[in-house]
Order: sequence, then structure tokens, then C-alpha cells
Amino acid sequence: MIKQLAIFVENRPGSLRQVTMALHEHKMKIYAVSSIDTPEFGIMRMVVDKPEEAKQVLTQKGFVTRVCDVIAVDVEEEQEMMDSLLGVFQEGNISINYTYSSFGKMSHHPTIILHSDDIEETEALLKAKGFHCVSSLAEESGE
Amino acid sequence: MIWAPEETYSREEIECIQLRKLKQTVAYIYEKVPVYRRKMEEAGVKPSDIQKLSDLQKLPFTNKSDFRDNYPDGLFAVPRKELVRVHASSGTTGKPTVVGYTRHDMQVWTNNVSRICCMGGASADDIAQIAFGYGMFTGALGLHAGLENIGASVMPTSSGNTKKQIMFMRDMGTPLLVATPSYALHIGEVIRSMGLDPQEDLKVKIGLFGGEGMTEPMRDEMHRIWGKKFLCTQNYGMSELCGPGVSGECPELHGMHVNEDWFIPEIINPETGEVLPPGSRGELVVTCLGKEALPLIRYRTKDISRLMYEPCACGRTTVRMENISGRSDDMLVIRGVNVFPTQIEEVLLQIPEIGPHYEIKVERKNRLDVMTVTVELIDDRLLDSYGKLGELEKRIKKNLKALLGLDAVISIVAPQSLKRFEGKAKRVTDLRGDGL
Ligand SMILES: [Zn+2]
Repeated sequence: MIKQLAIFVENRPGSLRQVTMALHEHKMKIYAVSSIDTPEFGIMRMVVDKPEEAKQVLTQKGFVTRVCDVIAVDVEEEQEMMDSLLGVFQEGNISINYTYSSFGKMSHHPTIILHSDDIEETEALLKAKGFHCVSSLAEESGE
Repeated sequence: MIWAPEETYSREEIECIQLRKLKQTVAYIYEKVPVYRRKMEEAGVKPSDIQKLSDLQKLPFTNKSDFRDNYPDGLFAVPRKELVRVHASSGTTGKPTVVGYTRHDMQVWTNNVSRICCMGGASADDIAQIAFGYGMFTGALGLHAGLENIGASVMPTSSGNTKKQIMFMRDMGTPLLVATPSYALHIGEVIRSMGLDPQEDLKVKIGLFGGEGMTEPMRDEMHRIWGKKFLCTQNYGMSELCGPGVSGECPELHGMHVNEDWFIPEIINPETGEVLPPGSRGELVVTCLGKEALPLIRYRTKDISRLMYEPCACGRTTVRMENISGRSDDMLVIRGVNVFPTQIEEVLLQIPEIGPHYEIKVERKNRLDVMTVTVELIDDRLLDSYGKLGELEKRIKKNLKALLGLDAVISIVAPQSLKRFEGKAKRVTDLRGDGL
């Protein structure tokens, strides 16, 4: 389980950049980003190295920011990995609200970030099926 | 056709009637309505102080807030069993403004509306399609009674369902349409989009418009759509005064003749309350004469107008009020519904997920009013999913609809993104301009 930031952004040019700029100013690392837009507004989701500090920075800049738990699954470079992951959810009848993936060289493998209604139960199930759920995306991850 | 002889009385005769009825009304209200008695005592004026028409100025004003403070019927002068009708309109906050009528009030109201209808060219030969929304709104039932009274055939189609309106218009050969001017323009556009020409394929030749003001560009557009010979007039009223029937335009189209034997109009400076000389533009104040259920003295309409005493070529001698050119408060008329920003604020303040700042924008799209309410998000818990944000949007919409009866577009923005004001906040942007 890791912490994710969710930030309310209005759908206009440059609004996502304002978020990343604010984080860079404070030397925070971004490991994963996703953003979906409706015509009016969007929720930008991201995994950073210091979520609570990042929330403070962004709130001061006037962004509505939420920190919440998501699951991060280390995915080995096997072709069927994604399919077998989704297979677990189907069997367990768990609906996934959204997924996105990390970028960069923070870990050996790519990481899938996902969110379901019951994070703990979902993570326990994944672990039981042999998946590697990480608790940090930082390079020196002890996991 | 001129419906009542009182419409052509000499100024002397009109003023004689006004003074007689004013004395009666003031004595009546002093006796029957404790709220008024208290207000008059505070102003140090007794019924016997009213000896000439200008003594009216000694009496205190009545405001919309008096309705709110005495909700629902504290201003009524008769017990409930004497009421035969109750209507309501929006109040500035929460509770509506409730008005009532005795049987006699209904007769007077109906006749006053009949005068307005005849002024606007209606006759017993007409089929009148009433495309005002029925319900608690006084407009629909007021015009309904007034038109029936002159012998016209009334078709209460109510508002909405435009295609069906057009079907009746074609099949019945409707010559007379009652609607808000913006709805009449919208109907015209739908007719055109169906490949019909209102001037060729329909028989509509008279429009009696109300519920909202009609600007001159709107009237020009009305002629373009419905034809050059289309006689389109507007009339004026508000539920507190009785509903429609206070004044209306004659075919001269130069101001609305006031039914002066039932209403005394004054024009005041809205800031000081001082009565302005004839011909000045200012806030219209109306005193209702001879009303039984809800007599009103010097009611501040907040509408900006001007009184014209010059004789009119139509033959009527009653004073004309210039078409309303604005408001001295921030009330909006949206799709014929009176909306106060304070009402919207009240709804928004009850929703904890959003901040106290808001903006209202009103535009006219496709001839219909569209209101957009912009609010600032403050609760981060809604960011868990789009569903939660969508639910917030729906909840705001539903609560506004429940209070105003209007659909609004909700726009959610980041905190601190709406403009902040140091003095009086300007939260309303009305982009309708000339009404088109
Ligand atoms: Zn006239």
C-alpha cells in the first residue's frame, strides 16, 4: 500500500503544469501521474516521494489536495502479468476504480497503481496470489 | 376596443376616484392589519391625515421584506375563509411571497386583465393559447381569467412541450399567443427549424407578453419571426400587486397604460425614498386601491420606470409607465421566474463541500435563459472519485431546482479562483443585454 495525491485541477491550459512546478520548486520527486479530464475539471493523481509535505505545498498554492491509499504492484516483465493481475480481480469479484502506471527507474520493474473500494482486502488477495505489492516507489526501496 | 369607461376618464375624474378609494383603503388597512397600524403609528400618521392625493407621501413604504417578516399571511386583511384563491412568487430568501384574493378581488383582477388584453388587441373572436407555466405563478391564471372574461376561447397549453404548442397552433389556427417574450421567440425558432414559416403556415397575429420585460430589439426580432403585422405588446404586474393587470401596452407601443382607478403609481429616488417630479426616471412605487385580501400601500416594486401623463393617440387617458429599464435591486428574471441571488446563496451555504463564494452568470442560448452557478470546491474527500464530484454537482443542481424551479448549470472550480470583493460583491453577470 502506498500514498497517492489527488489534486483538483480545472480544465484549462497550464493547470497541470502549475502542480508539477510547485512540486519541483520544493524538490519533490514524482513517480507516477495520471489525469483524466471531464469538460469542466479533472482529478490529477500522482505518487510522489513525500505525499504529506506535497499536500501542504499544494494546499498553500490553493489546490484542493487529498492523500489516500492505493495499491502499487510490482509487475515483472512477463507478457501475461497484466492479464493475470486482472484475472485475480475478476475471480475475487473486485471492481477496480482506476489504474495507472509508474515511470522512471525508481524500481527494477514497472509498477501498476490501482484503486479499489477495499484497499486492504484487495492487497491481501494479491499477496496471497503471489503478487509483489510495494510500500514505496523510491529507488532505495527496502521492500 | 376599450374595455372600461374608467380608461378614458378625465384626470380630474381619475384623481377624484383615487382620493376616495385611497381614504377608504388607508382606513381599512389601519383597522384590519396590525402590521400596517404599527408602521403608520411609527410614522406618526393617522387615516384622517389623508385629505388629498399628495398626502399619500406621508405613508410609509411597504417592502418585499414585509412579506418575508409576516410570512405567510400576516399582511392579509381578511380571515382565511374569505379567500378564494392563493398564489405565490419567489421571496428574496427561502420562503415564497404568498398572496391571496377574495371573490371581489378576483372580479377586479379579472376585469383589469381584460382591459390589458383588449388594449393589446384581443377580442371575443380570438382563440388564446396560454403558454405561461400554470401553478402558483399568477401570470397564467390571470390571463386565463381575463381572456375568458372578454369571451375569447382559452387554450391552457401551459409552458414547455414546444412541438405540441406548435401542433395546436397549426391545427386550431391560434390567432393569440400568451407567453414570455423569450419563449415566444423560442417557439418561433422551433417553427422555422421544422421547415415552416410562421407568417405563411400559422395564423398567430397577436402576442400578449409578460413575466419578463421585452426590449425593443426583442420586439423587432418578434416581427421578423412572426411577421410585420404581428401586434406584440407587453404588460406589467407582479403577484404582490395582484399579478398581471397593473398596466399594459396599447397598439401605440409607447408605454404601458396603468389601471389608475385601482393603482396609484409614484416614482421615487430609490436611495432617498423621495418622490420625483413627473417625467423623472426612478423606482416605481404602487399603491393598490380597494383590495380586500391584501391591500398594499406604497409597495416598492424595485423596477425602474418613468410616468408619462401626456395624452395617448389610442384614446385612453390613463398614465403610461415606460417599459421597465432595470431594477434597483439585484433580482433576476430567468425564464420568467424571479430569482434573487440571496436565494441561491442560501442553497449554496447549506452545502459544506463548497466555499462561501460563488458567481452567477445568465446568458441567452437558443432564445432560452441559461444560468450557470460557479462554486469553489473545498472538501478534498470528493477527490476520491469522479463519482463523488459528479454527485456534488447533481446535489447542488437538485437543491437549486427545488427552491427556484429552474435548472442551473453548475461549474466547480478550485478554491480562491473566484474574484474576491472588498466592498459590495458583484456576483451576478447578466450577458443577455438586449434580450436576444
Ligand atoms: Zn394608448
